[in-house]
Formats: sequence, C-alpha cells, structure tokens
Amino acid sequence: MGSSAAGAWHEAEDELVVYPARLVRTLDPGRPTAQAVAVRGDRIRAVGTLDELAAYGPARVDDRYAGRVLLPGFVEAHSHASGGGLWRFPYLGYLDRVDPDGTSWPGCKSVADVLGRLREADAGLPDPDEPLIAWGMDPIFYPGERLAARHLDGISERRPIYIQHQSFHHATVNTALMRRDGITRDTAVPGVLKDANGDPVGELAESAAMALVKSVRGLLAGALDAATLGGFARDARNQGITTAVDLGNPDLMSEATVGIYRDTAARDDFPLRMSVAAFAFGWGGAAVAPIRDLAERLVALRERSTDKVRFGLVKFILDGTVQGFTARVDPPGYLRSAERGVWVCAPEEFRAAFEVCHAAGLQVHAHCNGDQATELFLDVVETSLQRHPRWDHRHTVTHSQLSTAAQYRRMATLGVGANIFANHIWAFGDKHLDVTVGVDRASRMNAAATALRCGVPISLHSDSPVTPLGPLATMKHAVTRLTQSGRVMGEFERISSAEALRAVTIGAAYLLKLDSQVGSVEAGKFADLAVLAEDPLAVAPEELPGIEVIGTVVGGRHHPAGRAG
Amino acid sequence: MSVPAEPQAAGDHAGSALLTVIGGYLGAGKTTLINRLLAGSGDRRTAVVVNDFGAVGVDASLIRSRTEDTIELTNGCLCCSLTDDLAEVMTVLAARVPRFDHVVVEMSGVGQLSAMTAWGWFPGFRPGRSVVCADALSGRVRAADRWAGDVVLAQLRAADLVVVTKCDLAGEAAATDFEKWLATVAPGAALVRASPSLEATALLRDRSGEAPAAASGGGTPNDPGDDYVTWSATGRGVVRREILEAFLRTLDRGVVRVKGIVRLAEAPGRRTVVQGVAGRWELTDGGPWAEADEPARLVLIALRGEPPGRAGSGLQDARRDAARVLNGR
Repeated sequence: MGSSAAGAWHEAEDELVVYPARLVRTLDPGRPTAQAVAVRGDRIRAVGTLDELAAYGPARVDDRYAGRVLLPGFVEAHSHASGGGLWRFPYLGYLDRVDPDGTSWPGCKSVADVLGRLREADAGLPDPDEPLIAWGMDPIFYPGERLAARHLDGISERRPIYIQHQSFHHATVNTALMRRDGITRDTAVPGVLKDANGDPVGELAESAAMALVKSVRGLLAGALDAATLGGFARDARNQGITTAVDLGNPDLMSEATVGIYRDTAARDDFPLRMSVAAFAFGWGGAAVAPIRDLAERLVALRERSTDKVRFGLVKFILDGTVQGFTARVDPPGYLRSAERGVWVCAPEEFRAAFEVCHAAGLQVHAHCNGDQATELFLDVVETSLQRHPRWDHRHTVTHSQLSTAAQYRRMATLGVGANIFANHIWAFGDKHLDVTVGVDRASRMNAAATALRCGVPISLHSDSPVTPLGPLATMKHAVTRLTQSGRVMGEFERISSAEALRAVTIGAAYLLKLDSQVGSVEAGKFADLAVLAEDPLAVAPEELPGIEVIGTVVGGRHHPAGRAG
Repeated sequence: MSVPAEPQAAGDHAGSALLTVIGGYLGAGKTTLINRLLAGSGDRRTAVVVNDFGAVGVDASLIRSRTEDTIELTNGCLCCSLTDDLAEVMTVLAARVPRFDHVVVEMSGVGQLSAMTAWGWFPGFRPGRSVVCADALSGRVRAADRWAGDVVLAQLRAADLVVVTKCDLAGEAAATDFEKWLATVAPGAALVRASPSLEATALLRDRSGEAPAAASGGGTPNDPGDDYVTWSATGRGVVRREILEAFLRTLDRGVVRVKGIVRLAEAPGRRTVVQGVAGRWELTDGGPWAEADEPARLVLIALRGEPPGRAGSGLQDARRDAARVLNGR
C-alpha cells in the first residue's frame, strides 16, 4: 500500500502514535510479544519496546491502553449480519447474551423465566394493540413444560403475541393472535398443533402453518438495512472482533444491496471490516442467478472491494444440521435414526456451479455438517483442480462438524481449509453425546486437534445468530470441549489456548485471504486491535469468556465496547 | 380453551385452487411436465412455481407482463420463480382473486415433497396429488447413486402418482422393466407414462385420484416440445478408437443418450455402431457400409435446462468435439 505516491503523502501527514500496553500479543511468531504498538494513520508502523519504537521518529504516546492487553482484532469467518436485526425484539433464549448496545440478557432457564421476560416487554408497549414479538426460545431446554397459548394469554388477552423459536421452524402464539388470524379448531393445515379436544394449542410448525399468521410480520422480514448492519457491527465490537464475514447474502446481483454494505461500512463510526459472501443457491435450493452470471458479477465486484468491505467469496450450503438430523451422513450415520440427511442443493448442481466459480478464480466456503457433505465437497474440489489447476485457492469446509480424520488428511493434500463449529460443542454437545451421533462420534466432532495434526489450516466460528458472537467463548469451547452439563466431549480433540487464539485471528484471516492485511499485529497491516483486560493465554481456559473486552481499534480508530446504561 | 369459531376459508373448498406438488431428481422430466401443463391449460387458470424461469417454455406472444420473478400470460396463467421466501409466494397465490384453478409447485431436484404438502390445506388451496417424475432412462442409476440415491427413493415413496418419463428413449423393454421396479419401490403410487394428452388430466385429480367436477379436462392438446435436445453431426473422416472413446468419456449424464455409426481407423470398411446411455457405451460391428461414401454420424440427446452435457463446458463443446471426431480430427 504505502509504496504509491498517494500512500507516501498520506503517511507523511499522519502523526505517529505509540500505544504502550501491559502486553501486546502480536500473533506474529517472529516477534510474539511486545511492549507497545506504533500506529500511523490506519496502519501499524511497528511493534516493540518503547525504546525500540523511538527509532521511528517523533511520536505522541497515548496511554489509554497502558494497563490493557492488545491483540490483533478477532476475525469471525462464519456469521450472519441479519442477526443484527433480531435485537429490536426481546430475547428469550436459554444462553446468556449481550446485545449490541451492551445490555445483558440473562438466559431464560424455565418457562416461568420466559413469561417473566414477556411480562416486562408487555409493560413496555404502551399501545395495547401493538403486537409483541420475541425470539430465541428453544423448547428443547424445557422438557417438562411446553410453552403454549394458555401461558401467553396470561400476559395479554388483547395484543397479539408471537414467539419465534430458536430453530426458526416453529412459533408459539397467543389466543388473541389466533382469533385475529382465524386459526381455529377447524383449521386443517398440518402443523397447527392441537390438544386432545382438537383445539389449537398455539404452536405452529413449519412454513404453511406459520404463514397463517398475518397480523405480525416475520421476524427477519425486510431487506438488509444500515440499522441491521450497525447492530451486527456493534455486537462484533463488543466481542473484540474487527473483521467478520456475512456468509452470505442471496442478493449481491443487486447494486442496491452492494451499496448498503459499501455505504454503511464506509462510515468512520462503523467499527468493522466485512467480507460479504454471495449465496449461490437459496435455502429452497433454487439458484439465486445463473451461476455464470453470478461468477462474472463477483469477479467484477471483487475489484470494487474497499478497505472495509470485501466481495468475492461464494457460499454454498450442501446439507442441513446435525441436531436436526438433516446433515448428510455416511454409514454408520446417526445414533438411533436411520436418516441420511438432506441435500440443500443437488450434488450435480453443486458440482457444476462449484466448477464455474473455481474456474473463475473465486473462493468458496461450503457449509458441510455431515461427513458425506464434506466428502462430496472434497471430490468436487479434486475434480475441479484436475480440470482447472489453481494454487492457493483456499476453498474451505465450513462447520466441518462430522469431517473424519481421513477427510482432514485429504483437505491437507487438496489445500482446503476447515472452519470448525466449536460453539456447537457447548450449545448442543449433550445432544450429540446422547441423541444425535453418540459418544463415539461426538468425541471426534468438530475435530480441531485432528485438523491441526493433519496440517489443515483452521478457524473456529459462532455462526451468529445461531450461537452468540464471541471469539473468547469460542476459544474456550475448542480448548475445553465442555458441554453445558459439564462433560468433556472428546478430550483428545481439545487444542491449546494458543492454538485456539491463532485460529480466531490469523487462522480465520488466512481462510478469508485477508491474512496479509489483518489477523496479526505486524508492521504494514491495518491497525486493527482487540483491547482486553486480561491476557487470554494467562487465564484458565474456563475463564476465557469472562475476560472483559474494553473495545477495539479498527484502522487506527477507537471503538470502546458498548456499556448499557 | 374456548376460541370463538369464525367463518373462514379453510373448510370452504369451493373457491380453492388445487395444489399439485411435482418432485423428481434432476433430469427426471419435471420441466416438460410443467411446460405441457401450461400449454394445455386451456381455459383453466394455472399458476406454476418453478425453480428456474429460463427452463419454462413460455410462448413470447402469450406474455402479458413480466417482472424479475413472475411472468403473467394473457390466458390468465402465471409463472413464479421460487424465491427464498416460499411462504410469501404461496400466500400471495392462495389469496389471489379470482382464484386460480390449479397451482403447481416444482420442487428442487433434491426437494422433499413432505415439506410442501401441508400447503394443500392452507386457506385458498385444496390438496392435490404429490407427483414425482421418474426417468426410465436413468432412474435406476440415480436410485443407486452414492450421493443422492436415498433422496431419489424417498421422493418416489412419497408420491401419489409417478409419471414415468423418457420411455421412448429407453425403449419398450427397458421402460416395462423400470415400471416393474417402480411398483416395488413405490407400491402406493399410481404409475402413468408421460404423454402430452394424459398429463393434464392426471395432474388435475385430487389426492383420492378423483377428477374434481371443477376440472375442465385436458384443454388444447399442444405439445410444446420435450425437455431434451437432440443434435446430430455427420462426417466422412476416419477416427481412431482411442480418440472416439476419449470423446465418449467426456460426456456425462447431462447427455442422456449417444448413438451413431462411425468409421474406425481399425476397421474402416465396417460400420461401427455406437450406443450409449447415461455415461456407459458400447461399440458393435454394424456390417459393411452400404455405399463407399456413406457418411458417419453421431446423435447426442441432452437434457434441456438441466446441468450441461459436459460439466464446466456444456453441450456446445460436446457438439464441436463430435464433429471433430467424425471428421477424423
């Protein structure tokens, strides 16, 4: 960058600022720790001791981080910006979360907690007819009692109440809503769950039943907007993330959509760099555009990337989820179910579409939860490489939950990376041990240690909003492999804190082809830092999520974490 | 719980549209079926929801209006592309006044019919048959496929009606065999062979198989063409067997059939007959040439609107290569 005339001029204008810290962890193995970081403009000029940095000319010393630990800003390589819009509504999930503005939302540990949260929300809506919408409720955590209309009627018999489940495949509504939308004992649509007397209980399953609701617009309705992106970016900032992927968007053929990303991210107060992936197929399995048109568009868009927004990544979804028994699995498959899972796009269609993207020079991240999905992906990468040899493609298996050791060895050979869903170990680990695949295979799910042993470049991710953004928590899950019940899900797949820290910084940057710009604190890279109260390599792994995130620095600009009230 | 009963459309089927769901793996013939339905809709108002707009053969002179994801025809029919928000498309179709007589939803090649059938009870619709297309030419190969065999079988088991396609290409013996096999795989389903006249009536039945009184029959018989394209080349060259086989190897399942007569360098005085189906081929001796200068020829039959004949390069390349082979280059 600095070699151009304009860059040199820019460099001369900006003052050199030195930030002393309690410790700088650079993630640069050639210079792993330092005393301070020197920043000029949006770039790192040097790292070292204060004495060493004196050699770089006159500088202003800024002590604001003197007692803090500085790291490269975290990089989240699998998240969804649409999650930024959910926080307009009250959160009813089981896990504790913090919203983008810093408000803590303790998890709802019982149906009573859910109702308590709703009662507060109801009191906060002055108009008695305004619908109350909430999200994140997961009945799997309340096995004794199923939330139903009769509970919600206790909150309001007048205003419609609509509770979106965490799965997004079910909703629970109150009687006022059913009355307004004509859902009665005569409603024949399968998915309108009924009691023994034939009366609807208020739970609606799957699209046809949920579409009976007309008085409340869907939770994720409406196009991506600046407010949603802003919420996502503040959430990321609060977790120390300075680069995150929106994986992906189905609408990048549209200039308006591209404009929203570029314009929103360009603002100085937008605290995040983004890589925006294009969906090649939608959830319904339909291509979002003829694949050659999409590839051509993305090659052109890649050239229009900015410092804050990068285009050019392609996202494919091959299969479903492990907990939904829809991940594509090879024998011996699931623990007790004979299900083999579902393909989201047909194998032949994927093969043809991937090859077009690969031949066009694009990079692909493919959602593969089941081992059969990973196998198909690797087969397709291999045949595409035979036809169109390419070096350094960095195609990546994302989720990679059931990828086998043999597949990791193959990934290493093919130059394929793995972005591993470490948060699943905590969020659904008990289910994997007891219900989905059993102890044996659960113990090697999300096999970060095997991947590293095989030499596969890895990252670890949240898939936010599926699980919360938070690389420190993600590190803990990969390092401890603890489930919510306190069991260790496969002790031999645990990795060290240092390996986990690499995975959520330079490892993720590598899988996004951004490692020359972000992911470590090195001269010439963007001045993107996570500012922490403690050194993540000096605390017990269980304590990682408790480390306070003071804020971030993005391109030399300071973004303190949000603090509620 | 007491919920005041209010009159609503759910139980009132009189003004509802018959909802037919069409599934089947890639290349099974879904698009042909839909094109025939549209062409033969007569005075029935039909709406189709499809995966790929480009594959639907709509006569340009019939288009009244067109947007990014709908085509409205002058006869009252409508084509919608399956966007990400399926529920929105279905809700709009269900509420449309005047009502459609028939709404047909095409599932993706790996789509599960069970995901759609609940919509048959949605206010504004009434449940029609779950129809699955099965291709007599490659259906059994697909059912044994390492990646999607179980998906193909699950689709067949979920069918009320299996439409057997490409019987003409497969030949009578193979088609009959295939139907016997289908009867064991999907014993609950009715079987019918694809044909322009039969399909509209078969698809206009409700789940019990009864033809509803509202249906007006087959409409105007009008075959808009099949869902495969045929291309042939001739040439007078001599080709070495290994060159010919290398060419045949490049054809994948998108080219469903290859046949022809070629002049091999190894036996230039004899006609060598090429027969290939779904990725396999054989070369047999077809006797001496009728005339010394009888041209060699190759016919390629490929799926229209499905994955291209050669992954990554398409039927165009296959055609060019076939011409080269026939001309000994």
